[in-house]
Amino acid sequence: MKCNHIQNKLIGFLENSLSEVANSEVKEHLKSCTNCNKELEDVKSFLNILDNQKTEIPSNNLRDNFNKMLASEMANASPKVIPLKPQQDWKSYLKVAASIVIVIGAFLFGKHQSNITKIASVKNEHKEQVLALLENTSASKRILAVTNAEEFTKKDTKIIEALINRLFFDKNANVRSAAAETLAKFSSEIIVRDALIKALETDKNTTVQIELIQILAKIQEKRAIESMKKLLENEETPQYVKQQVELNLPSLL
Amino acid sequence: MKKILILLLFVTSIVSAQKKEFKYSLSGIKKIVLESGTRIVLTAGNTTELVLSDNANNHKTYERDEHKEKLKEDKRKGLTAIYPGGKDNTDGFGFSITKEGNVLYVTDLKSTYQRHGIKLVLPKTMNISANAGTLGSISLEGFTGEVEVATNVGRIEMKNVTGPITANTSVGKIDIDFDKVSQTSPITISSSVSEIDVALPADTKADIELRTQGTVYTNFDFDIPTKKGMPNVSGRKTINSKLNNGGVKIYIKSSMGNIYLRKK
Repeated sequence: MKCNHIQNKLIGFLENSLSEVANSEVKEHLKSCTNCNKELEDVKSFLNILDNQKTEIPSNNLRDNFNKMLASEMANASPKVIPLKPQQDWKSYLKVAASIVIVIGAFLFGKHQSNITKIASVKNEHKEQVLALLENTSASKRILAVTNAEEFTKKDTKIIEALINRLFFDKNANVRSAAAETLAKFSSEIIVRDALIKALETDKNTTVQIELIQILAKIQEKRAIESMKKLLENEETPQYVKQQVELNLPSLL
Repeated sequence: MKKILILLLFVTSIVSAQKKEFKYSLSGIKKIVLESGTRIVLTAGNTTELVLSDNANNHKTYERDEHKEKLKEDKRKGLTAIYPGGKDNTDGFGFSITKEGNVLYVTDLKSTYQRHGIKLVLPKTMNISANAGTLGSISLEGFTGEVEVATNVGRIEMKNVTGPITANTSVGKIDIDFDKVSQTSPITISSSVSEIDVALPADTKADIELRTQGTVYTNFDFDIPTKKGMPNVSGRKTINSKLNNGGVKIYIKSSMGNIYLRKK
């Protein structure tokens, strides 16, 4: 063990790089141990061989050649580098552009979406306004609401129901007749047709009656023939209303 | 003693005045709904009250019957008139007045046969809705509020009004003379048989819709589109036109009567 320990330090001992304690320890041991002396001789001769070995120095040609090669390589590589750079820029621009597009797109989409809801809500608000106006105490305002109701589609059953309500129950004849006129535009709906026929039977105001007779003839509602005939038979019906029936009835027959 | 006499005189004069006129405060009232089957005359006045009075057609007959009236009055002493239509709360005037929110309902309780016309003075800006029943007529002047009238056979006459107007009659004639035309909401004038005569200021901005099976006469410039296509079966003809680049909607509809639209 001791010899191993000493032998590990032999190179250090020969190169004088050991601490003084270790140095004297090695010296002491070498005086007594022949094995280690032999080892020391081996290490000495190995080191001598290393020292005597001549260091190979590369020729100047090598450096020149290398520089030449490097230059040529750089010359070869540089055209490739140049297109690479803009390509990278183009890509990054694309990325930036894409992200901008996405952001703006998202913004516009959101805006559009909110516009849609806004339009919808405005329309809804408008609908509520019209519905409220239909109940206004002013007859002129109700007429305004009735004519405004034209712009709604037949899907707005609330509007149609409110108009039918006006047709039957409004105290003002002008409102009733305006309601009839607006309802005529929704005449594809069966409830509208039913309401118009029913109103002809119940309304006592001659202006409204005449309006209804003309509308029913215009929308070619054959089921109104019976109600019209009833009006003709009714003694209370004024002559001028009967005249209107006589004028319009043939177009339904 | 003298003071008491004067006071007594004063009181009786008030009482007698009340007999000819009934007043009702209109504070907080925006609209008056009047129903009477007689000749209704409404005038705008610088008043904050409703002033109701009889407007008998023939004063001479009234005088001649004065003696009879006195006898009748004696008979009624200690009795009150009751009506099927409501409670008289106008000191024997035969009207029922009820307030609902800012609307005042004035309902005539007497029949058409006992009324010989009434006269109401109302604030200029009051909104009015008047129904003259089956036989009554309506004549009004000078109102700037909304006016809504309906008669059956009676005539409708309006002067110096601004609208919005909503008028309907079956047989009665309609005469409306506008001072200026309010742009707030539509004007609708309709009749079944009778003619309609409307006068508008020359600078009126309006979208006019005229419909009649009669004839329209006007001195306004109307752009009449040349019609093509199907002939109108019902004979219903509509003329749409803008006056002074358009404005408030004015509907004038008569089933059979002529329409006269005058430029002032």
